[in-house]
Amino acid sequence: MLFSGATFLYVFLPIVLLLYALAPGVKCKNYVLLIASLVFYFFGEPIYVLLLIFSSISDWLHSIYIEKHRGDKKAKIALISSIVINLGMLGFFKYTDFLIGTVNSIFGTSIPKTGVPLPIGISFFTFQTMSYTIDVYRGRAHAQRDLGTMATFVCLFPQLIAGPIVRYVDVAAELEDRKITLENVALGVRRFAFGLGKKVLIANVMGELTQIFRDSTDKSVLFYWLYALAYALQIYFDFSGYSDMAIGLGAMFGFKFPENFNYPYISKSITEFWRRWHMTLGSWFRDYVYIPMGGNRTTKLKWLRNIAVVWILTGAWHGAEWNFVLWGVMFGVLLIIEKLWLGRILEKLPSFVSHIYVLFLVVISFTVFNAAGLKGVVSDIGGLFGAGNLPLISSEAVYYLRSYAVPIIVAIIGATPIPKILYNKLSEGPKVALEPIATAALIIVSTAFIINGSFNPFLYFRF
Amino acid sequence: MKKIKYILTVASFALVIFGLAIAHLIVPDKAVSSSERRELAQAPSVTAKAVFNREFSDKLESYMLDQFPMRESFRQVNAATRFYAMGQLDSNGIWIDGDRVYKNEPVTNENQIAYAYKLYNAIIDSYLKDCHVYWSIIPDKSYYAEDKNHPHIDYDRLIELMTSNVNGKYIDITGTLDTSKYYRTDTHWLQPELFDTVKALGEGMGVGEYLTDKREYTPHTLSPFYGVYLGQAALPIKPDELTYLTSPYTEGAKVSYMSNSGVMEESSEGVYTLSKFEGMDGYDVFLGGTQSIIEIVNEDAKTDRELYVFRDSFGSSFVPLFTGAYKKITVIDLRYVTSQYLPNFVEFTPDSDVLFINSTIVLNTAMIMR
Repeated sequence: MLFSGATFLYVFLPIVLLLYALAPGVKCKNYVLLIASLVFYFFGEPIYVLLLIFSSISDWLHSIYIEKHRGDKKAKIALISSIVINLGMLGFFKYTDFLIGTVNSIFGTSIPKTGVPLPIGISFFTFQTMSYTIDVYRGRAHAQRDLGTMATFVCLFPQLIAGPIVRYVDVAAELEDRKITLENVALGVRRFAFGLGKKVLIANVMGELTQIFRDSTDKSVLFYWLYALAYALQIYFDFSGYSDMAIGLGAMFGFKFPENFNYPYISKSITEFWRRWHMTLGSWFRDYVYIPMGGNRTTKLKWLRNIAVVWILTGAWHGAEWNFVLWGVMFGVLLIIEKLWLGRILEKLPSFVSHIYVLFLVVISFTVFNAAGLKGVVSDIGGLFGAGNLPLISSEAVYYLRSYAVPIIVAIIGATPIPKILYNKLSEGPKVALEPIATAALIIVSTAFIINGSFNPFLYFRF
Repeated sequence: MKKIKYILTVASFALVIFGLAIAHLIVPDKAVSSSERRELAQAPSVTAKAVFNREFSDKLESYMLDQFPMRESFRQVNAATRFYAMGQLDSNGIWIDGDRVYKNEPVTNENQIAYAYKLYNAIIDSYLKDCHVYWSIIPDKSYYAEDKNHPHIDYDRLIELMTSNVNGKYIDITGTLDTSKYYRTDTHWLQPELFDTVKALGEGMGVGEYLTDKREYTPHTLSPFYGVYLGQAALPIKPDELTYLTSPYTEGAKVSYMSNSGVMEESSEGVYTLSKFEGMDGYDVFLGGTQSIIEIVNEDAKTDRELYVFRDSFGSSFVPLFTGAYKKITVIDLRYVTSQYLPNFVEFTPDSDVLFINSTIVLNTAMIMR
């Protein structure tokens, strides 16, 4: 079930909101959320919902055991067991066929692939549950004794399948007791509506353009750049729109989820970009991989190794294909270069040069990201630079540049804090009318686009 | 002040979400969308199998979208936002010039076109060696559009590929048409505007002198006719009227359609199946719409000649205008009958005329022909 689908917006959500409002007390509200979350996941993954339940029970038992034996070797064994189970699930469902394919292509073997489909959101919920048991082991969180509450955390539908990656410690207090205020609900509603608009009115429209490019037989250098720009905008508005909807829904239910994006495209360095892009994933790798390996408080060689490991893992986390690994490696190399010497130079350069540097590399990186394997990377990156005697301009490229000029300009401006800054300059008076009207208008226009049945996938579902 | 804002924001959200959800429950479901010319999804039945193979969730989403309250209005909001707010030049490939609706055809499929001329030649070699073979190409409406900036088939390339490969006499009809000779909201051409085209084809095949004069026809108009592009455009554009022409020859023609069992069955309605106007596609009035093989016999025709027409849906509206010139016309649509089985259903009489005539849209997707 997609947040931007009619079934979610006009069947699931009204029923859940109504039941949630009627449910007395936090415990009862948690059960409403748990059942709703299981139904939500069941709709997309009728079989794999068992995996989610298994994951909840497994980490619930492990965490209790870890807490009971804190400081003991048994706690460490339980932690390793929990991590092995979580990574085992992730590895089996996500990487088995990738490894088989790689072995086959290197050694010329023909080992049959399993063909097992990837459970939606597995990369997100396994990371959430792993962080929980690790935090219990480290003593940063108490083990949750109530299985229902634990399962509510693991299965919580607003962030279940595409983040933000919510750690148990982020919501532990709210799972036990939370206040649902008018202000939070209103801010949640506003955030949800804006997220929906970002997803449906911008990301999907950019998605149409990328699909048109893929289907075209009239490619040119201009068309490749138009595609690369459109995809960079699509993935930002798709993912940040989803995060906004998740955060908004969380607020409606009384939770405060962590922010996931902070205008990444205004960054002046790749280091800054990754402080602003998919922030919950970045901080997860920092806290559970990079720092435990020694972070930067070690020898230079080990420090570089730590960065390399984190970015290979970040790339592979995004997808079981070599282009994703390459994408991660690319950022790892860029970050190392920036940390060693380029960062200091970037600080001295005029802002617009730093911005161009970041945007150029980010657009290239997402072209790598969206390519069909390594062959696709060579073809798409080659296309950007005119490889294969590609014409500079084609009539189709000019047509679609004209046709999508306004949405692209709106998207570019929308990717900056300019609209927010302008809005904040307004006095409270106009906002009283503007916010409710904008909220309703965004939902209505988004619904109009959804009904027209255009392009509507969520890119991050596959991760 | 902030509290009022919060109350209004939550209220507006609740009004939209709950209001439309309740309206969806209350408003009776519809069977068809006349503007989109398609059946609408109905509420799916809940079975364990459907739930577990995700068919239920997929069908539920389709049902929600198809039966959404004020669906037409929402579709108009979408189209208007795209055209007027986003400044897009098309909406899902549909674009408008004045009150005429066109469709982008961005890809020229040379392999499909090659399939078309190879198929034509294979049929000619197999069955038509003793016949007079003619062929023509019907340009789609965009060929004549003033605005050439929209992506369209490379017509010159298509015509070049066909003319240099098809074995037969090419009859060029491109000069007989313009945008005014097509429906504003549909892909097809207007029957009352086809006299120049029919004349070019008739003269090309040597029956020009036997064609029925324009003045002998009586026009009959059916309204409203929702063209295929109208529903896709989802903008408040006036629908077309559908006019068909009758003459003593069209009235006197006996029409038989091939049934699903492969038997020719005579129709009681003749060359115009008026009962089909209220159906999904009003254009089906012409020769009963989708048909694999049709035989039109006119004992009062001015000649004893026979004509075989290999055609697509454009053929349905111009073939009736040849009923005065040919005693028997056999109309074949290769999208619905496989060419290798033709001898089972059609006996090709030597010395007859044969006309291959398909639109550029069909030639560009020729693998739908068999």
